[in-house]
Formats: sequence, C-alpha cells, structure tokens
Amino acid sequence: MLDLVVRRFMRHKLAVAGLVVLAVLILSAILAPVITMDPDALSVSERKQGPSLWHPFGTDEAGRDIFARTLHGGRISLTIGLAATLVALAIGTALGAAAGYFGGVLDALLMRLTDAFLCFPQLFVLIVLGTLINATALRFLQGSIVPIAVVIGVLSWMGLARLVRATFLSLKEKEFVEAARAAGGSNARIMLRHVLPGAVGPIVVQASLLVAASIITESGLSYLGYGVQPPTATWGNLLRDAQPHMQQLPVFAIAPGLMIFLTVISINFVGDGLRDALDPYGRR
Amino acid sequence: MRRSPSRSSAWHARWWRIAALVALMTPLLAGAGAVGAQDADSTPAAEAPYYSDTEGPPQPGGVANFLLYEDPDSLNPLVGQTSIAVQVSQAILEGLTYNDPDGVFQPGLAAELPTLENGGVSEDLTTVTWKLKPDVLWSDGTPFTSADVRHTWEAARDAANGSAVASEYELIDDVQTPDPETVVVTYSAFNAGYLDQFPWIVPQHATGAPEEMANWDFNRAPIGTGPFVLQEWAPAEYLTTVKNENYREEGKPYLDGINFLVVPAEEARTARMIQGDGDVMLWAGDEAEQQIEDAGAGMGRIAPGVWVVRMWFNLSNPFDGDPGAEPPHPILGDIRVREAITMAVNRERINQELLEGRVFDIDSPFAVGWMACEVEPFTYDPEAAMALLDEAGWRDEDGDGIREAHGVAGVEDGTPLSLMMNGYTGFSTLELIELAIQEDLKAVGIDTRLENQEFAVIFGTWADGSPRLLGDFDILVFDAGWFAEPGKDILLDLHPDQVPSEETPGGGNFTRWVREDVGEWIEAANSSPDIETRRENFCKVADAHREDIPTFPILQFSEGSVYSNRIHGYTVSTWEYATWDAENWWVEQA
Amino acid sequence: MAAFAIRRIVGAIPLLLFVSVAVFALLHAAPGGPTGAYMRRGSMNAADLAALEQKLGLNDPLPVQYGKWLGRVVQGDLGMAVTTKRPVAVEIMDRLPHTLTLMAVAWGATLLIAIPIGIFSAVRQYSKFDHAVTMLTFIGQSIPIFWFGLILLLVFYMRLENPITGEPLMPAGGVATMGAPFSLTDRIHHLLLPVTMLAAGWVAWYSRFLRASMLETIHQDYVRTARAKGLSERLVILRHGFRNAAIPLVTLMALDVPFLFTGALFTEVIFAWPGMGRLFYAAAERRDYGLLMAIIMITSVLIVLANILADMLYAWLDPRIRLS
Repeated sequence: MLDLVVRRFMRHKLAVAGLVVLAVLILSAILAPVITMDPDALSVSERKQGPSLWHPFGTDEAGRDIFARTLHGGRISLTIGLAATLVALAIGTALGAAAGYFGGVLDALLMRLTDAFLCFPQLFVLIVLGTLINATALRFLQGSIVPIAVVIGVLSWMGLARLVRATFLSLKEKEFVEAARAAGGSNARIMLRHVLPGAVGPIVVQASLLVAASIITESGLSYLGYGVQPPTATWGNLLRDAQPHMQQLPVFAIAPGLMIFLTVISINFVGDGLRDALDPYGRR
Repeated sequence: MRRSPSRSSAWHARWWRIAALVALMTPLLAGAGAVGAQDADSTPAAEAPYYSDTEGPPQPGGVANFLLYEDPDSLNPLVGQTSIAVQVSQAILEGLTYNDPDGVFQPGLAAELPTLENGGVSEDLTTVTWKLKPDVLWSDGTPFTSADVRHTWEAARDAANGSAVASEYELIDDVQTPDPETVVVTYSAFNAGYLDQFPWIVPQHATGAPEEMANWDFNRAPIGTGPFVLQEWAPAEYLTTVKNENYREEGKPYLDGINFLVVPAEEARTARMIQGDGDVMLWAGDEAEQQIEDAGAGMGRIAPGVWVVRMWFNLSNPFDGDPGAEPPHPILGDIRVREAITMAVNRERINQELLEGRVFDIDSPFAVGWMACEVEPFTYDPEAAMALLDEAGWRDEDGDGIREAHGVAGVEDGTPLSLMMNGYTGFSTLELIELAIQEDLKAVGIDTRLENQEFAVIFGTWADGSPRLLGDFDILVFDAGWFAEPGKDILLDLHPDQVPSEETPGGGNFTRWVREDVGEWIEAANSSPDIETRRENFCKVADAHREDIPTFPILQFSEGSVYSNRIHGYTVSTWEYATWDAENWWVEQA
Repeated sequence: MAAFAIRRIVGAIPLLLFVSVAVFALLHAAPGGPTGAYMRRGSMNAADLAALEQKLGLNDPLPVQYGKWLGRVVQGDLGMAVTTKRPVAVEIMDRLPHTLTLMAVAWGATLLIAIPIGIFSAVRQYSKFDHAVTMLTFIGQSIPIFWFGLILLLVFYMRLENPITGEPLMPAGGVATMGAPFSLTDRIHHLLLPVTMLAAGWVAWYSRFLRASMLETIHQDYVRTARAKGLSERLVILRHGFRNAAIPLVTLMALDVPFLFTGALFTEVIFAWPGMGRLFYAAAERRDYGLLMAIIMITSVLIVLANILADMLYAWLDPRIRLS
C-alpha cells in the first residue's frame, strides 16, 4: 500500500520537485547556525549593502547580514507553520471525527463550537494570550514563538474539523463500516481502523495547506507588528523590514518574499502530489 | 538649508497607525510660556533652525494635495482629536493665539497679547483682558465677537459637555464680554499658561447648546475663521476644503483649496508624491523621503522637533505588586548602574551612523524650547562603564559574557545582570535604536531582552493596567516631548507627588524619581509670570535630572514632512501642525 | 426544511450570546483601552482622562458594562464609537457600501475564472493545461498578498502609463476620482487593481477546491455509468460531474459570505479603499469597544446564518444527506 502511494507520488513531478525544494529549505534552516554568521549582529559600517561574496543577500539598515537573517527566519517561520498545523490537526481531527461518527447532540454541540471559533478575532486572541503569558507563571514563554503558533493553530482547525466530519458522515454509512460494526468492533477501533484511513487523503492535503497558510498568517501578523518580536528574524518580520527598501535594496525585499513563496508553493505541490497518491480513485 | 540633505522626522514613519495625539494637549501644544516669552530679545537671533520656503512672488490659484495616513476622528478640537485631525482643523479653525516657528506666542484672533506691561494682565495676575481683532468674519459671513469666546469657554469647561479639555479651564471663574471686541477672563489663581487658554474658538451661531457639544453637527462640518472651509468629507477617503472668501487677511489664502487625502500605506503615499499626485506627505519615513528626493519629485523639509528619545529607568522594584517608589530597583536603583549604562551606550554611533545624522544630539529633555537648559554632557566610555559595574558588585566570574551579582545589596549572588527593555511596536527607527543599545550594553556585560509592546499597552491608563504606570518594567525606550508651555507636563512627569498609584492614576512620574527639592522648583517655576525665574527653576530641575539620571536622552528627532517641488510659501514648525500657515501656501501653475 | 431552519436559528441565539460574552471578555482582557488613543505622551491630564473614562462607563464592573451593552443592542442600538463620537451604525454604514462593492466584484470575478479552470484542470488532469493552471494558481496562493498588492501598485501606477493621455495606467487607489461626477468606467478603473489583488489568492483556492471535488466525482460509478450509456462527454462532465462537484463548492461559497462583510485589510490599506477591514483594524488599535463589538457580532451573526444556509443548501443539493 505504502509502496503504491510512494510510486504514485513519485510520478507527480511538481510534487517531487516541491519535496526537494522543501528539503533544501528545511536543511538550510536547520544548518543556519553553522553556515551563516550571527543574524542579530549589527555592523553600522556595512549598512544597506548590495549582495557580495561576504554578504550573499546584502545587509539591512542595521548592517545585519540578510542571508543569515533569512535562513534563521526560516527556522522560526517553518517551526511556527508546523507547530500551528499540529495544533490544528489534533483539535480538528478529533472534534471532526467525533462529530461525524457519533452525530446527534454531540455533533450539534461540536459544530456550534466550531461556529463560535470562527467568530473570534485572531488579533485579539493573540494580544490577550501574550498578556496572559506575561502575567502568569508562563512568563518564560514571553517573546517566544509559542503563543503565536498556538493562536494560529487554535484558530484554524475549524475547516479541518468540518472536512473530517463530512468524510466521517459519508464513510460511516458505507458497507465496510457497517460490516465492521456488525462484527462487533468498538467505536474507537472502527474509527481508527476503518474510517480514518478513508479520511487520510483529505486530512493530509488540508494539513499541508494549513502549514502554508500558517506561514502566510505569521508573515501577515508580523507585518502588522503582532507577530514574533524583533530582533528575532522571521520571514514576516524580514518582509516588513524590507518594505521601504523595495526600490533601493531589491534583494533584501525579494529574499524573504521568495522564501515564503518557495515554501508555500512547495508545500502546495507536495500536498497536491499526496492528494493524488492517496486518492483511492486515482487513475494511475 | 545646509541641513537639507538630512531627512525628516522619523517617529511618524509608522504607516496607517494611530499616532494618536490629542487636542487634550493642544492648549499646551500651542503655547509658549509666560508673559515674557514673546519678548523678542529672549530668542537667539542666529540662523533659523527651521525650514522656510521663500520662493516668490506667490501665484494665486490652484489646489494642493495633502497626504494623510488615517481619517480624522473629529474636526472639533474641544472634544478631543488625533494629531491627524488637527492637521485639518488648523486649516479651518483659529484661536486667540498661536506659536510662531521659534515657539514664541503671537496673536491670532486677538488684537494683541495681554501682558502686565500693557495692562492686559492685572497686578494680582488673576484677571486677563483680551482685545479681539475687529471686523473678523466667520466663513459663513457672520461677525466674530467676544460672545464666541465666551461660548467656547462654556462648552469647553465641563467634561459633561463632552469636552476633552475641561481641566485646562478649571482655573477660570468667569468669562465676561463687556463689548463685542473685549473678553475679560477671571481666574481663581494665576495660570502660567494663560496665553494658551484659547487655542481654538468655535462659533456660537454655528454650533449649538454647550451641553450638547458631543452631538454638534459642527464636529464634522465646522465653520471657522481660518483660511479654508470644509467642502466635503468622504470618510476614510478624503476631505476637500476650499478658500475662505471671508478670510481676514487681504488676498489670502493663495490656494483655491487643499485636498486632504487619506492614504494609509506609506508606499502608496510615496508613489503618489513621485507621480505628482501629492504635494505634502506628512511625516514621511526616511526611506520614503529618500525615494522621493531621488526621483526629483520633492524634498524633505525639517525643523528640530520636540520629540526626544530617552531610556527611562525604573528606580523602584518592578513586579512586586507595589507601584510605590520604594523599595528601590535591585539593579537600576543603584546610580552607578545607571551611570554605567549612559557610558556604555554609543550615542554617536546611533545618531551619526545608524540614523545618518538625521537627528540631533541632546543631553537633557530640558534642552528643548525656550528653556534650553545646558547640563553636563554624557560621555561614551565603555571602560569606565565596566569599572563602575565592577565596583557596584556586578562582575562576570563565570565567563559567559554576562555579569552576575557578587555582593550586591538585596540581590542574591549569581543573579545575572539582565534587564527587560520595552519600546512600542511598529516603529522601525525605534527598533534600530533599541538594537544598537542592546549591543552596546552587551559589550559591557549587561544582558537586555527586547520586548516591544503595542502602543495601546505602553501608553495605556492605570485602569488598563499599563506596566509603565504600575511600575512593572525595567527600561522603557520611547520618544516624548514637552511643548512650548511645558509647565503642567513637567509637573506631571517629574514632581514627587506624581508617582502613579491608585490615588494618582494620572501621575506621569513613572520612573519613580522622588526628590522634594525638584517638586519645589517645579512649583516655583509654575507660579511666576517671569520667564527668567521660570527658566532658572526649570534648569535646576534639569541639573538634578542629569545628576540622578532617571532618564537618559539618546537623541532629538526632527519635525518635518516631504513637500513637492511645486508647493511654496510654507514654514516648518514643531510648535504647531503642518497646516499652521496654510494661508501662505501657493503652487506653481503649470 | 423550514422547521430545520427555525430550529437552527433559535439554537443560534445561545451560541451568539456565548460568543458575545467571550468576545466582550476577550476585548477587555486585552491591555489598553480607548483612552489610550489620547495618550500619545507619557504625561496626560489626569482629570480629563478620568472624566472621559467615567463618561464612557469604563470604570464600571465588566458584567455591568456587558449588561448595558446587551441591553442597548437588544433594542437595536449598537452604541457610539469612542474616537469619532458617532453612532457605530453610522460608522459601519459609511464603509459598508464600498466594502460590499469591492468584495462582491472580486468574488464574482473569482468564480467566473475559477469554475472553468477547476473543471478543465480536473477533466484534463496532468495535461499541459492542468500543469500550467496548477502552477499559476499555486503562485497566486503562495505570494504574500500585501507583497503582491505593492507590486501591482509599482507596475500599474508607477511604471506603466496610458499611451494616449500619459497618465498612470491605473489610479493609485480610492473608489473614484475625487470631485468627478459618478461614472461607471471610473469606478471600474479604480476597482481593477484591488480586485486583481484579492482574486489572485481566491481563484487559486476555489479552483483547487473544485478540481479536487471534480476529480472525486468523475471517478464515481454513476459518472462511469453515464459515460457508458453513451452520453456526450460534455454532458457527462457538466450534468453528472460538475453538478455533484458543485455541492461542496456551494457550501464553501455560503461559508465565505460573512467575509464579504469584514472586508480585506491589506487590499484596503494599499489601495486606500475606505472599507470595513481598515475600520476594524483602527478600532482594534484604539480599543474602540463599541465599534469592535458591533463588527465582531455582526460578523458572528453572518457566520452563523451562513452555516445554516450552507447546511440547508447541502441537503437540498444532495438528497443523500438528511437534515437532523
């Protein structure tokens, strides 16, 4: 089975390319401390320089190396994307599965909860969470990426829950599920062994999109000044810093934008490949 | 303008953000101190530090486009306004007085300034008699009279009317109007800012009952005596104004109108300037200004601003649930640590290299305006800073580059010398300054953690739990300024009774610098009409401030905007808003 | 179905109450308050500030403030905006027409482009067309939107000009030329860039979604049967494939309706569009509680209604689903 999926995936050229690009990006983020200089070191004598051998992407207005900041920014942005997705995945799958499988009152309650979460303004949840962290024993998290990852995750599981619920709703009526039930399987077992595999495709695709969306959300929040605090480099912070220099230091402005773009597009391609590979009706 | 290649005020670079400053302070904004302040001899006659466009002769006609970054909230200064709204108001409304670019008082709707010498101020200092300019008309043709001044007072004096400036009028017992051109203001006690009392006058006939002020149609459709008249306000899009045909100065204004365009994105405002669709870009950021100048579309024009970036040290223990000044801060309570910080920060690197000399060096918040108090300059000497820290018991014995406590009173041995530093978010220049400070401090073994907070948080109120007021911070970094009549602000910021607390929630002495003699000097300065007496007392406070270092000035921002090549006749002033002289503006006709 | 709708709407009332309490608490838990907008400087007139807070009722206990708010809202009064001192309803009505125009046009354009793209790329899966479209839509989805908007501004306002008039090819922003009489072409001219900016991301989203559900349906048995019966491919795709694939799409569309109301912050900022997104953002920064509560709760009502609508549409379009 896995063999088949891998073979199908490998046939999707864009997906494979995406996977390769993604691997490079992740590797460069992991290796950033080894292969680049200190991303936060100021060097006022080297401000706003164009690309050079020593500074491949040039320097920003504080003389910091943009290459180093871009790679280090990747560590943060990718981590946020993944962490937020894991949070959303856990909540969304669990709630969606429960709602879809059990139906009835539980379904109604969970779906109303989903509706309620759609109503909460992200910006304020973020601000308030930041404050709560400051005011409590969680103060060591202050300025870290945990609040932002959690907030993005907690506010983006709703689509996933709906999707999982819908899949469960349709799958639970299928013959093989009825058969499993007739054979006396427990609910948990049926959900995990029989229904969930049928939902894996959509979940994986949705999750990959969520990683991409979370990275975009982080960049947007940072752009507005509500994201990870400077001087920590994230792609969103870098984009914001680069904004006024679009004309004078194009490399500065392009680097983080391009990284976001490459990451998101690669993830999307991989997601697409996975969708095809996991599609039980796939032709190839 | 030898200074012209340098670039303008940066603190407003934050696009579409509320840099909300309000008319709560406009009476203060406008004013230069006491009776003697307008004495021409007291201003140095050196080359004007502000930019004044002297092209000429003016060509009447044409329309100028003024680019704002947000929609005004209200056009009635008495109910409170953001700084953006005042830009528009100042083209429409006038007051009895205004400040010239030197910060000196000048009569606006008043015929002359009341002084002791001309009898406008009574011997006991509690009665002020204003003579008004004759034959002034409101833009709808109705005559301006003393009744309008009284009406303004009646509306402004009570917060229940919706006034945001009520406390500015609390010393007034009565305003009488013996004849249409005379106003007699009776005070219960001397008001050092009496010249500042009526920065705005609203018309009696075109407003409504004073107690209804919050709901006046006037608030969004003002009638004024100023050079321009509001024509249309499309919310969040634009405000168009046209020439006031009844303006009191013959032949002015030169322009047929000013369009105030609301363009939130700085990039979009820059683009419009370059394409010739904008004539004034208010408070352009440095990069925007550079681009516009490079494109040959306009120039940044500046004056030294009132805004001083400082490091504010908390002298009391933070996070102990006690907003009081005692006990002292375990680290910053020691003057040696504060002194060391001032010696460790390389201000020249920040001002000259990082900010490319676009800002001014400054050693005291009292060095601005008519006081211009000189204090002993701060010096950059990291070696001495390290020696001082060693002496204070902060040494790095574990070799991690960060000093720890070794025998510091009230601090457990081994506690790292680590401080939190907060600024506000969304202002990249401030971030640069913080980064440089952080690096400099690290070089002498002081660890700082940057955590910038939202504007509404750092400038929040006591009830909002603002950490600044609660005393829950180590070091704050932001810009603040006193205006032409600073008496009341200095009192609030530095008086020993103004430490914020449950009882004094509005106190501004949040560094918790408590010195009784400072309080006495401030009170002395605020109870005299004599400019020299005031200066002397304020300069004593300045020296004490230098000695104890509750705050450490880093730099002084400039004030200014970017102007297109076709607009002329303007003068940049930090004491008023950009449109303060809009009647003199003119544009080259194509 | 009417019974279902009524039951759901009645059931939504406790949900909305819950949301309003939670959001009210959330807003007030955030540090800062509306008077912060008037406190640019460290020093501030304590007396005036206290009077202002008193007047706004900000010193009342939170439950009291909430009660007052709810009492007003139930009577149809959304309260006053703190900074502009105008009724919240007026503030919203100033912006709403512009927001609806922009969002509806962008949405319509999106669907017009996305539906054919989605169908074709599913039918011709892995064809050159599919690959090209996949590439393009992914690019659209992957560019940070504010970034894309700035580039549009740079290219179409700064660089390109109308060869006849010499004016910039596209206006820098706003809903219409200031002071000019109403003109449809002028309005459209001003809509082009912001709509492009919005649609770039949405087209990707909708077409990918449709492609996926099309792929699912055209491999279903009944589609094969239809094909085996000798129906023309076109008919099979449209009647059997698209009809069924459209069910989730319609649901998705219904769920997106509330966001037509909330506007699009980045687009409004870059193209100086006087919309709801900017109104909300400014209100958030100023902690304008009345305005914030109104916008959030109107959005919440719309979200809840859209959900009910989506469920009903789903049941109506797909007879296999029973409403319960």
